Amino acid sequence: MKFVSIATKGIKETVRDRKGLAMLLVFPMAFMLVFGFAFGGTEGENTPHEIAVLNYDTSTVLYHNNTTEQMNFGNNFTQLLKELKYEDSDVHLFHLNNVSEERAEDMLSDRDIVCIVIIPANFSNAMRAVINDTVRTEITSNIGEMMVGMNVTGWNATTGTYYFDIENNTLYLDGEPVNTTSFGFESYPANYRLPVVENITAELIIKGDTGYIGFGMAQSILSGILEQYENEVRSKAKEEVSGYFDAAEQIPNDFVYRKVKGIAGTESFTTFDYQAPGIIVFALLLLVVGVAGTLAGEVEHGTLERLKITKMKSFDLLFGTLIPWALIAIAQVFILFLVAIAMGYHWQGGITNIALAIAIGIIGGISSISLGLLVAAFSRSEKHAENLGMLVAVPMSFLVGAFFTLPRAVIGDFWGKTFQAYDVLPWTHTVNALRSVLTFGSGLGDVVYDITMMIILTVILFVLGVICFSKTRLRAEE
Amino acid sequence: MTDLGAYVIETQNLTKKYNNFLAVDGLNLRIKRGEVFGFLGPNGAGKTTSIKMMVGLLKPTEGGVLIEGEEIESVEKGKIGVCPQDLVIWGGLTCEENIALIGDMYEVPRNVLKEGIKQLLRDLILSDKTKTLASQLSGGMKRRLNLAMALIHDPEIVVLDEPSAGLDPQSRLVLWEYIHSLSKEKGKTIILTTHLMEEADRLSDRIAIMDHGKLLVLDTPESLKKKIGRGDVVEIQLSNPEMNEKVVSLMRSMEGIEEVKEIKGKVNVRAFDAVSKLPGMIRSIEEMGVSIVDTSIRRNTLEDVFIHLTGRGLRE
Repeated sequence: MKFVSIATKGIKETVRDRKGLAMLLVFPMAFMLVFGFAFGGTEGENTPHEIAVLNYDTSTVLYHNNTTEQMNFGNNFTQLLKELKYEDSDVHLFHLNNVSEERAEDMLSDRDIVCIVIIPANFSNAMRAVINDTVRTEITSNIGEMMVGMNVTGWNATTGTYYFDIENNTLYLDGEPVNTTSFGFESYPANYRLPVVENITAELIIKGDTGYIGFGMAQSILSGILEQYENEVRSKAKEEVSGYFDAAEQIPNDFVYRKVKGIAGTESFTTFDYQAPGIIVFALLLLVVGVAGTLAGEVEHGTLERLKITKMKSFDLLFGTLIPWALIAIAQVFILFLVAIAMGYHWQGGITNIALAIAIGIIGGISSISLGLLVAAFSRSEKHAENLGMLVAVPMSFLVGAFFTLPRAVIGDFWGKTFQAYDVLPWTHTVNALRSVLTFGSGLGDVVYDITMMIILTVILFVLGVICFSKTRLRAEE
Repeated sequence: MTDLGAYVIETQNLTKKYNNFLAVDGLNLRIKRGEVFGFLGPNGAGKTTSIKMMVGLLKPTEGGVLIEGEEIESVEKGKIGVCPQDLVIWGGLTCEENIALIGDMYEVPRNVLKEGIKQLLRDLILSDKTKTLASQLSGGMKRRLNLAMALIHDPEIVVLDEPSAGLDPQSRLVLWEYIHSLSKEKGKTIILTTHLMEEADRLSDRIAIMDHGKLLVLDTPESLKKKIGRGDVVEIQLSNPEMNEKVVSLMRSMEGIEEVKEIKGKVNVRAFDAVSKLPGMIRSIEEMGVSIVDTSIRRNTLEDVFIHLTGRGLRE
């Protein structure tokens, strides 16, 4: 495996070139320190997030104990959003703008609001399904517990497989119905029926500009609230059912239990919290300079020509070059993350988020390596490549919104997302994904779109880089 | 009939054009198996361009290169080892690592590679620098490492592009002895480009001189010196200098004499292969009744041949 030898060579050269390594790691670190010092200390005041809620929920009917109740969970959820406050504060988390959909879209475009929350028509039905599912699970598990507790040997010393037919209220032993009297089943409610769980999925949409920090913060908080809301409904239903299992008629009539609690992401955000992931991406973009310089150096010093006459294939060189730089990308993400924390970065999540951030960093690093290949393909010397790489990487870091929010430049909608001109650059998605994961504590599910876009754009860039570099540098000269 | 098996490399009408500039103009060469083939020419003559085409690094505009009868594009990589003119080494790797990397690229088996590295470092007097970073070696050591990297895969053909440029006399001698042993003991075919005429003369079995992209001459060094240039110069000092004029006339009338002049009281005779003509000259002078006090001979050198063919003008 020749690429391993090339990769080993690259690692050894990188580690032994202490000045170069220091430049790669210390330069972005210095950036992080400066930005952290400049922007990290200025705690922003808590202010409500401006949002619009469009509630299309058509309500549902809850049945129990021969009574019905009309329930609109959409209204309930909207009310909850209105009432929520910052932790240990009297300031509300959201200010809800009561506007039409058309007006909400305009306000979103003008950034008068940070997002639109669209509650679907079947929201209440979905919540009813959540309750029914919880009740059904709870009851069946209780029956299971009762059976385990039965004194089988005390009846006729028969052992075997027991099961209980809920619909017919009959106990079976090895497939034959048995007399349940001996088992103390007299108290079991003969008229009890398990609730039917409907197969309903409601999609609550949080619409906004994914490249805008205001949206990032609001959507993160809203996602947390929605998850907590569903959990609260579930836990209330469970609590009521398990508490009164033997008296079915006492199943509760108030399924929605509301409690306002502080959640992750409601602390005061600083400008530095927005910038820290951007600085990590800036460092990843600086890999362009290193990769382009290294490869152009191989051309300039004749070592590439020496390798070209061997049995080495393009794949060996390019993949072998990619490995050490990907390792540097990992080191950069990790070190800069630690420096950011030391400078007061408010990060969310746990070890999974760090692992996810490193994975995102690797993909972002590969994007930079690919761009480095392109730069090296058109550079005349190592110095030229480094200058050209710097000329590309620095403006690019601003273009992808690493440091500051960008003005809107919408191209259209793609995959249910607003696609902006900057979105053709993989690092835009790297910045968005890192912010979501580290600053807002989002999980993999929340950054699937950005990761997918990163992978697609990186593959395109890598293929372009490989083609250009191979054509200009790896074939016999014309 | 020519024995084609005796030739390892053959160039057929090899031509390279860059826009309107003709770098190599229809080069036809045949290099014999096991010989040291000297490739001479002034800067810009087309030597390096020709060599790059011969090893497959540059595509010819016309013509082609055959390695053992096979077109260069389809020849298995590893048959040729190239020691470039510049020091092409990785300064951040040790001597051992530099050679091992190239060995890996040629897919040399691990055990063979390990032994090969040891042997090469020993032969090129670099054993004590095995673990030294290449960037910390002296110029001569770097050049020897440069050569070792061209040989680790045991190629049949070795291309040495000015291998001793910038070397001190001791290092040059080590290198020359090693090149000689490569050819004579290990049977390698060696293509050697150099600006050092002494090097070409000492090491080459045959020499090709090219200029302006064209092959000017191809022969053994001895033949070239006998046929091309200004010839050998014989300096004769007579016991009676008053007879110089008569001796000059006599010499001019002799066959195979290129030029005769009286310089500082001595008769200077210029002729090709003067050594074989010298007894006849001495006999003729003595038959005139003139005795000779002293004679000296300065042989025609490869440098004379080179200058004669390529001119004295500076090139870049």
